[in-house]
Amino acid sequence: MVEPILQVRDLVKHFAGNRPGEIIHAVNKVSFDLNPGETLGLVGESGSGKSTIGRCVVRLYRPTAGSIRFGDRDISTISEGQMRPLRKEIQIVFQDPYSALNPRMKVGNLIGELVKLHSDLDAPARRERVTALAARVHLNADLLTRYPNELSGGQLQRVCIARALATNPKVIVLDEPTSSLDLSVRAGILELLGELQRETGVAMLFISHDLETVQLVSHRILVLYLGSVVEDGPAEAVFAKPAHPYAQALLSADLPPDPDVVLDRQILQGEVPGPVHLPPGCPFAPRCPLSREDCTRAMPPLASVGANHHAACVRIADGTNDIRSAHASTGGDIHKKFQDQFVRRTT
Amino acid sequence: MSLLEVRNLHTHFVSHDLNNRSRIAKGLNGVSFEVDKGEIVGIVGETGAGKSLTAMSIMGLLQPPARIVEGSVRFDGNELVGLGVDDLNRIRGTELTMIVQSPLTSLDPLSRVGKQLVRAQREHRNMSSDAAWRAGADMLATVGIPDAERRMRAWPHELSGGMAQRILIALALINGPRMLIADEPTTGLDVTVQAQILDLLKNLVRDRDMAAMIITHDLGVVAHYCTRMCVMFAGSIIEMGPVRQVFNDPRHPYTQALISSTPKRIAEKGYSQIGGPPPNLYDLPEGCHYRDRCSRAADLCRTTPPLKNVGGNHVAMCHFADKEAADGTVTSHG
Amino acid sequence: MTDTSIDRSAAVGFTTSGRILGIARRSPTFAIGFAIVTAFAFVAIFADLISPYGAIETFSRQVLQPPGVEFFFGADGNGMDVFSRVMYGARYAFGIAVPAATLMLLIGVPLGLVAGYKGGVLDEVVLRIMDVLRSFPSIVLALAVVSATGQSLINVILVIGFLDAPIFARLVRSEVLALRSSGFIESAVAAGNPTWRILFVHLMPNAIRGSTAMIAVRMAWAVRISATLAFIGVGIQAPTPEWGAMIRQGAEFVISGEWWVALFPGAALVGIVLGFNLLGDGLQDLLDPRRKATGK
Repeated sequence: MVEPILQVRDLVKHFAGNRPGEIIHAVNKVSFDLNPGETLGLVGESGSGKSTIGRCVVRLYRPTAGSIRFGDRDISTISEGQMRPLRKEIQIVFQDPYSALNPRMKVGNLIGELVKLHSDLDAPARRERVTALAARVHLNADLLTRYPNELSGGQLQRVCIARALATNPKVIVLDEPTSSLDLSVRAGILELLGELQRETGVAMLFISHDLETVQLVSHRILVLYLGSVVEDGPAEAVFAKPAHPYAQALLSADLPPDPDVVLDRQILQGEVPGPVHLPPGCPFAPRCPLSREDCTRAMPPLASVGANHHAACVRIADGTNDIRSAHASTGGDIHKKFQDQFVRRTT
Repeated sequence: MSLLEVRNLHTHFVSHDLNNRSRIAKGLNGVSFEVDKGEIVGIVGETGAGKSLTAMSIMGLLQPPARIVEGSVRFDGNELVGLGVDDLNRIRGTELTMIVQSPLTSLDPLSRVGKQLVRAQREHRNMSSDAAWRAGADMLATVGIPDAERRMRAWPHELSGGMAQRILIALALINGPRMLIADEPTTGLDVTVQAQILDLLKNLVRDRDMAAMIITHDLGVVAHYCTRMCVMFAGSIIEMGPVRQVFNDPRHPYTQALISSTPKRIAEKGYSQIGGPPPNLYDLPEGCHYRDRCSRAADLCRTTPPLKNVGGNHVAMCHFADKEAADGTVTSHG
Repeated sequence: MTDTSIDRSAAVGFTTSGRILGIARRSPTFAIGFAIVTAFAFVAIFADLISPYGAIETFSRQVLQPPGVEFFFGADGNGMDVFSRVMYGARYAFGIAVPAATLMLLIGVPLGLVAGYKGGVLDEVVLRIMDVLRSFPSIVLALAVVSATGQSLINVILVIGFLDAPIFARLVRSEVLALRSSGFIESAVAAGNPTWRILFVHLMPNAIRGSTAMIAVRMAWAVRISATLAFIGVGIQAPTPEWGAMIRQGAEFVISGEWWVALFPGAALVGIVLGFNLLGDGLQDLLDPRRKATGK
C-alpha cells in the first residue's frame, strides 16, 4: 500500500472581502490524497476554489484551517523560512507563462535560478543541468539566451515546466497550464507532462476548467463547487457516470469539438453565486433542479457511488440523483432567494 | 448577393521601431468570404491569425497603425471600406453590430445599464426616453435576465461575467440589426454559463432571421453552433466550408493538425507533434505561409497556393488539397 | 488574446545611426535633452583641454572687460575669464548632481523596496519618516545644515541626497505595490527565493524603471539648490568657479552695466537644468509608450 505523498484534510481558506466584515469563503473543508506517480484533476468553474487549493498546497497562501501533510510533515502552519527548503519538493506551473516569468531575465537564467537556489552546483555544472533540462522539455538550446518576450506561449510554458522540474520535486501543481495556449500547442505540452510523469514518477495536481483536457491527463478527479468537493473518483468513472447533479450538469455542458456528437445538455439556471454569502447546507442547492428541503439543512456527506467514487448529495441514498429526471425547476423559493444576488465575484 | 461580402481584404500595421526602420505587419492577406442571413459562420484560428482583425476591419474600427490597404467589404450591397464616419455610424449599431471580448470592460463603468440601453437606441432613432427604457427592459428579459426592471438600474461593476455578456448582447440587438459579429463571446465565462449564452445567441439569431459571425478559438463552439466555418492562419482563410464537412474531411494540413489536436482525438489516436512558433507577420514566407510548419511542404509550396474546391462549398488553400486523404496520407503526385 | 506575434521583435543588429534617428524620431525631447546634457558633460570632463584660460587665472588689467575676441564671455570683477569659469563650473554642477543623485538612490530605493514588499508596520514607519523629510522646505533645511556644519561640498550633497531620497522611496514603493502580486513574483516565491533575492534580483530592476526620468529631474534640482545656496552666500564661494557663486558676484555689476558677469553663468544654469528636465521628460516618452507598443 503506497503512502500518499500529499494528504489534505479539511482544508479551509478564507479571505477578507472588500467591505469590512466580509469574508470570502474560497475553500470550505476540502480533503483529498495525492499518490506518487498519480495525476489528480481538480475541476470546477469560477468560485470553485480549485486555484486557491493549488496555491495553498504550495503555500503561496496560508491555510485558514485544516492540514496539509507532505510526507510526514504538516506544512499548513509552518513559517515561510521553514517552507523554503521544502519548496524544491513541491513546485507549481502557472496559467500564463508570460506573467509568470521575470521579463528582464534570460530564459537560461530563469531555469538556472531554480538550480542555484536548491543545489550547491558551481556555474559550469549549473549550465550543464540547465541544458539538460531544456533538452528534457524539448526546448531548443538556442532559446536559452533569449528573453521571455521573444518566445512563443508554448515554448515559454516549457520553460516553466523546466523550472518546475529542476529540483526533482515530488509534487507539481499545474494551474490551468494549457488554458492560455493555442490549441495546436496544447497537445505538445500535455504530452510532455505525461512523459515526465512516466519518467520521474512525480505526482501532479492538475487544475483546469477544461473537461476534455482533464479527462485526458487525470487518473482521479475532484469536482469542486463553491469551495467544496461535490464528487471525487477515478476519471473514467466520474466522466462516464457522474453522480452529483452539478457534475452531471457540468459534464453535459461540455462542447466536444465534433459536430457529430449529439449533445444532451442539462442547462443550469443562473450563475455561480459569489463566495461571500454561502447558502446554508449544500452550496449547489439554490441552482439544483433536484434540490429539496433536506439539502439546505446541512452539507451532505460524501456518499459512496462506486469503487473509490464518492459524491456529496442527499439523493444518492434513494437513487434519485439523475438531473435528467427533473421536469421543472424544483426548489422554487430557494432559487429565488439566491438569484437575488448578482454580486460580482472576486476571484 | 449575400448580406455581408468580404473580398480580398488586406490589413497592414505600419510602425517605426527604435532603429528607425519602418516595419509592416501583414495582419490580413486577402481575406474573402460571405455571410448570408440565417447563417452562423464561425471563424477559428490561433492567436495572430487575424480573426479579431477581420471583425475590426469589417466594422471600421481599426486604429492607426492598422489600416485596410486593399479590398472591399460590402454590407447589403453598400461598400463600407472608405466610408465616412457618419455614414458608417448609420450602419454600425443599427444594421451591423458587434459584441467584443471581455464584457466587463466593454460597458461604460460610469453609467447604469438602463442608461446605456437607452443611449444605444436614442443615438440612432428618434425615441422618447420612456419608450427606450421600456424597450430596454424588454430586451433584458429577452436575453434571459430575471427581474429586468431592477437590473436596468444596476451599475456595470455589480455584474457577473455572464450577466454582463447578456447585457452586451442586449445592447447589440436592441436596434434590430440584420447581422451580429460576436468576438469570443464566451471566453472567460464558466462552462455552464457558456452553454446558456450560446443557446441564447443561437435562438435570437434564428428568431430574428439574422446573419451571425462567431469568432472563437474553441472548436467545440464552432462544431455545435455554426453552420459554416472559416479557418484562418497568418491572415488568410486557409479552409472554409460547412462545419460537418470541414471537421470530418479537413483538407488543409493546418486544419488537419487542429482537428487532431483536440484531447479526444489525442486519446483515440495518440499525440502528434504539431504546432510551432506563430508566423512572424513582419516577415511571412513566400508562397504558402504555412510551409515552414507543414510536414508536407514541397517545392511547389513556394508559390502561393490557390483556393481549391474540394467538394460542395468546401475550399482549402493548399496545392495538395484535392490529393490528400482525410487521415493525412499523401498520394504522390507531381 | 493579444496579438503577440505582431509585437514580438527579435533583436538583430542595426546601424547606430539608424538607432539614433529612431530614438530622435520617437522622442525629440529626449534627443535634445540628451544632447544638451552630453554637451555640458563633455565640457566638464575636458575643461582643462578646451578652456582658453585657467579657472582662477586673473588678468588684473582686463577687469570687467566686455565680451570680445579675447574673452568670449568677458572678464569679471577679478579679471578672470568668464567663459573659462563657466566651463569649469560645469564640473561643479555635475560634481554635485551625480553624487547627490547616487545618494538619493542608495537611500531611497532599498527603503522603497522593503516598505512596498513587506507592508504592514514597517511600511507605515518608513512612509512617516519619508513624509517628515519631505515636509521640510529643502532650501531652508539646506541653509541650516550648511550654516551649522560649514560650507563644504560634501554637506551640500548629503543634505540634497537625504532630502530627495523620499521621492525615490515613494516611486519605488508604488511600483513594488503594483508588482508584488504579479505572476513572476509569485513564481519567484514559489521557486524558493529568499526575500533579499526577491527584492534585489527580481523587484528592483523592474521597479526602478519608472524612476529613471525622475533621476534626471532631481539632478537638475540638485544643481539649482547648490547654485541657490551659493548665491545667497551659503555654500561654495568665490573664487571657486561655481555658477551660483559667479552669479552672486555678477549681481553686483548688473546695475553698473556689466551684464556679462552674471548672465553667462545664469544661462549655463538654465541650460543644464533645461537639459536635465528635457532628458527626464524624454525618457518618460521613450519608456512608457514603448512598453505599450511591445506588449506584455
